Amino acid sequence: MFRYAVKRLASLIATLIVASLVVFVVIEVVPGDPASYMLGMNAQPDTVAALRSELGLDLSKPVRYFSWVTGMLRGDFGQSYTYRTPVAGMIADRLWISLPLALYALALSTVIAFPAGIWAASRRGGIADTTVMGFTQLGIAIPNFWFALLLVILFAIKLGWFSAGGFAGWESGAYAAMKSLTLPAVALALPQAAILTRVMRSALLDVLGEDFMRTARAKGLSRRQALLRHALRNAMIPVLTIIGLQFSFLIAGAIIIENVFFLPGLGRLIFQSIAQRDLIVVESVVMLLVFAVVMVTFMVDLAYAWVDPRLRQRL
Amino acid sequence: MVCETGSIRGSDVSAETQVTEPLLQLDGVNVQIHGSPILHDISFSLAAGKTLGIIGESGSGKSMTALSVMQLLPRGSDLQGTLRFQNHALHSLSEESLCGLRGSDIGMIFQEPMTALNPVKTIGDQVSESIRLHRRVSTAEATELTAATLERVGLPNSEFPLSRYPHELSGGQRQRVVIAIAVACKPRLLIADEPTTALDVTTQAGILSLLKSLQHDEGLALMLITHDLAVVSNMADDVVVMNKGRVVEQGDLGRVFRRPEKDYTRMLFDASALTQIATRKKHVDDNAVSASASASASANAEGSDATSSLLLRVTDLVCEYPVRHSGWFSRAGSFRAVDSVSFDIRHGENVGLVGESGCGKSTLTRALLGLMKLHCGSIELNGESVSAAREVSRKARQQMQVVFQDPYGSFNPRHKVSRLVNEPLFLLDTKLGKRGASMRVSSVLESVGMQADDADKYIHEFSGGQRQRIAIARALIVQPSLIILDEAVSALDVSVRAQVLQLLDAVGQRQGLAYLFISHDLTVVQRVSDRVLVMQRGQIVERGDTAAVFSNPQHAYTQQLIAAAPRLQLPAEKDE
Amino acid sequence: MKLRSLLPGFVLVMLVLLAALISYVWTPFDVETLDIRNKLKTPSAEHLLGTDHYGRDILSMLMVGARTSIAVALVAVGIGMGIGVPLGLLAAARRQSWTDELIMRGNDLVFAFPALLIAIMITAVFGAGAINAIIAIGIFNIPVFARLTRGAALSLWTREFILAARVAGKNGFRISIEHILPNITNLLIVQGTIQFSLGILAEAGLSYVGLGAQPPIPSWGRMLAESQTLITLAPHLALFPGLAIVITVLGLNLLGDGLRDWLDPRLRRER
Repeated sequence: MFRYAVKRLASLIATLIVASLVVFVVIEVVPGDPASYMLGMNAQPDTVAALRSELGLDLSKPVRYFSWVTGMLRGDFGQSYTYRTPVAGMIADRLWISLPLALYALALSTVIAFPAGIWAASRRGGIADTTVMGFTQLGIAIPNFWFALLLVILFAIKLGWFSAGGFAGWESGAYAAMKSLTLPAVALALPQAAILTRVMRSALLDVLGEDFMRTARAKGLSRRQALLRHALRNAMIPVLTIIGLQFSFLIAGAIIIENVFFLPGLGRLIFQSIAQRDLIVVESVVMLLVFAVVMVTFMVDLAYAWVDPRLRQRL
Repeated sequence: MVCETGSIRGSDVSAETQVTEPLLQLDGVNVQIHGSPILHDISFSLAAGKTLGIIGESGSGKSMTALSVMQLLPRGSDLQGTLRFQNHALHSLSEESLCGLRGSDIGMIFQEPMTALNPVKTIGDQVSESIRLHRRVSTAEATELTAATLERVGLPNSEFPLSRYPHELSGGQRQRVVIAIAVACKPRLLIADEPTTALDVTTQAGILSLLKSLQHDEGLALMLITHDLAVVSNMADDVVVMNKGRVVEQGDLGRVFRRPEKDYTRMLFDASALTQIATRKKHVDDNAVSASASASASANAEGSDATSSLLLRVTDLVCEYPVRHSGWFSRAGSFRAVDSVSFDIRHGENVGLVGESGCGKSTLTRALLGLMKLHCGSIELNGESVSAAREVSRKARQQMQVVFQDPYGSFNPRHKVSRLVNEPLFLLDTKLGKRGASMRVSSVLESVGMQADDADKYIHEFSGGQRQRIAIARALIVQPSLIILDEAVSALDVSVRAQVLQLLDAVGQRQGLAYLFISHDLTVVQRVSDRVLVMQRGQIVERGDTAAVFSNPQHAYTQQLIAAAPRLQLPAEKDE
Repeated sequence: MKLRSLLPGFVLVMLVLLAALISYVWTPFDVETLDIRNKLKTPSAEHLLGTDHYGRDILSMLMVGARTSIAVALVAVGIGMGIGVPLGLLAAARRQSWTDELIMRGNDLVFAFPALLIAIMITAVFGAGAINAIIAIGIFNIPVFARLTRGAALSLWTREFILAARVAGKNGFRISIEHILPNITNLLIVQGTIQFSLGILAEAGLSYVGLGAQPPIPSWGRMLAESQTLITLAPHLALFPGLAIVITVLGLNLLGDGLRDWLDPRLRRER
């Protein structure tokens, strides 16, 4: 198990390194120079040059890459070109919104999807199954930002139960903060829940067709017992895979949703920074999100080995 | 949750007691699945402590019959008729009561041991689950009982602790765990659906003797379902012969085998008897077997006959697979699948290669066909070396063709038969035109007993036996000198098997083909080959004339193999 | 169950396709002329779906916007298949060699970037627009098809009919084309429709945040973005573009499911 973990870790680090290279190269290829952008079209060349050396833009690319990477490992993400404040601080502020949002959505979608998928699989072909399938088809087809708009129309405008946007801030207490994250989380969770339900159902159906389920029934287990005691754990393997994959979609969705609800999260930060040509911020945020995705994949891999003993031996 | 057991355990059912009421009785059982009839009017009975063998080929309905008893038929099934077990009417019991009977009074084991156990649970868990379901015992007692049960099925706790996972066990060992699960609560009836079909001959012998001893020790009644008449003849007291969902014939084993009343039974018996290992005992069929053996022996005399020249020479062949050790600094070890193998095949000769799974015969096949790199050693075909896998010349490939085991998987489902059969024509230097190719295809199809217009069909329109004929046609189309038959008849029903073997005989004689017949099934190899090679763990441990090796095996492994192979025995008739 | 999703899916998809195609020759109103006097009208007999804040007919806008969505998603799928499938075939044919490792690692790398991030990076560097949206979505499609193809091809390579082809002297390339590809076509078609529907959603998302097709090219996502500020005044502005997206994606998903069941009815799955 240990060796397995170490091997996955090595793979993770390799991916991160290559990813950082890719991010750096792609963003640095940007036409247009941050310094001249900041100073405007009519700036003097030597003012631009001075700003460039101040921002460290005149150093060679490999040097800048290494200082960026080593800085990140120390937790120093550099200084924003636009605001001259540490990027790490800007990210940290936003993180306290984006991360709870993502986790909230993940929790919601799991809580809905698991029972629904299990229920549909146990009643395969029946009315319950068809209904659940119908809902999930719809759920996958609805863009989450549109769903968000609809939620706003219904719950914020018509019913007034929630505000139409903005974040209450953690200072106002956990309840108020979570309340302002609820509509966004629900909007995010919808397509995730739909997909997860389908995956859960199909994974269970696959497992239910396996030979060892026959042995379980021959032992005297009822259908329900066999499903819960034997099928479920085996079905978790493909479900975990999908949760891991979906995490990256969740992040992408969160970026868009933040726009709908005017949440000052990482998404807003990225868009602002692009507009302002604040490359350092863009690079750092992208790297952070990539890191999150890769971390989640790693944890899913570890969870596999925990669930499936066959993986523990092999490298 | 503990199910109600629901059975009357108090009654004395010792081996001595005359039980007038049969343990299991089926009357007029009809089963349809989604409207199509599967079983017709099935009636038979099984007495306590006895063994009933249910014989049939694939599609005969024998597995469905077993599932009917357990009331585990697939969705959409409809059952009429009565099934009585002790004093329960199985067909009208509630699901809850049935749950109580399954695993506790009636146990069942299935065919595929490799997939019969839940891979994420330990074997201890899976066996004790059976116990805790039906008996009110504490966890500690359950663990004790589990350990005892595993010991009873031949898996001593010292080697197989309860914390083992199924993937750490071999096929035979897994089957023993399955048996443990089924007998943990000491049921009265054990249903075994093809329990040894997927296992090696030696493993099979072990499992069958385990079943016998369980039966003997605990007065267990056994319902044994199989297609192998030899197995049935060693195990059963009574038999039921099934075909296409109906009972063809039933009765005492001796009577049915000696004086079968129906043609189908007779046909089954003849087809099986043709491929039995001749033993020293005087049998009705002994003459037939020895006659065919001597006939083929004289037709293709051994190497001393000057007319047969050398076709294939394999010298000190070694094939290895890299194996990564699970260490930090992984040193590549290697596994020798083929370890210094040498043999010859002459033109027109039939050589058999016998070995169980894992002995290296499939690796050897691939090496011969130029599909694998050789670690060292050489392969010469007609004097030409075919050692380097990459440059195996087209000429060499033309000389050597192959027929595989799986009649379903050895063809691309998307191609028409004509395209499938003419694929080897790719090897020809001068390509035939479209007309030339299609004429070749027609003629070769006819030579294997198919029709020319079969070339326009798709492979799924044919049965298993027909597909193997098409596979043989594909092998013949480039007029090779040697055909390697890799378990070519193992997946076929007994009756079809005999036909395909006869076809191979005829074609081989007509075209002077040499065969390398690879199989785990000794009876088939004995029937077909002049000389035989016995392979174990990558090495040839014995070789010689087929008749000589089978009647007087020298090597311990060969002796073990031959001893383990079930023989078709005709028990003495009972005075009824 | 088999044809139950095929027919409705096909109908919905055809509906949208027709709307897009017809828009080339005719739309109820011209989408480029502004008619401020008629702005923000609710659905009526004249404007079936109402008008937007510039007085443009929403139905016409949706029809023209369909072109964008379909074009972007379609080309992106094309890129994904055109590059991903050969890569997958190559990786399977050279399994466990460096080529295979390389392709797998490449896949993992792309998967590490959420699709939207790729789009953001590209549009940040090269500017927003339909072409870049296509490239971004297309890039994310490549590893999807590569991984699918590789997986399916790997399981076919061990089958005996492939051995038979090797015994007939055929090399990896020929076998991939003659034997492997025809047997995975069904899978590719089904995945293609799924990626197509995902592409529609992705394009809508990108347009919503302003990174997709730029004005004056109409796009459903941008219509939604523009509707947001007027949400209290004219909720129908937010309703119809969303419905258009839902209908298209739903139709494609149903079509994909139906195709999967229709093309290989021997699959034991009942979806």
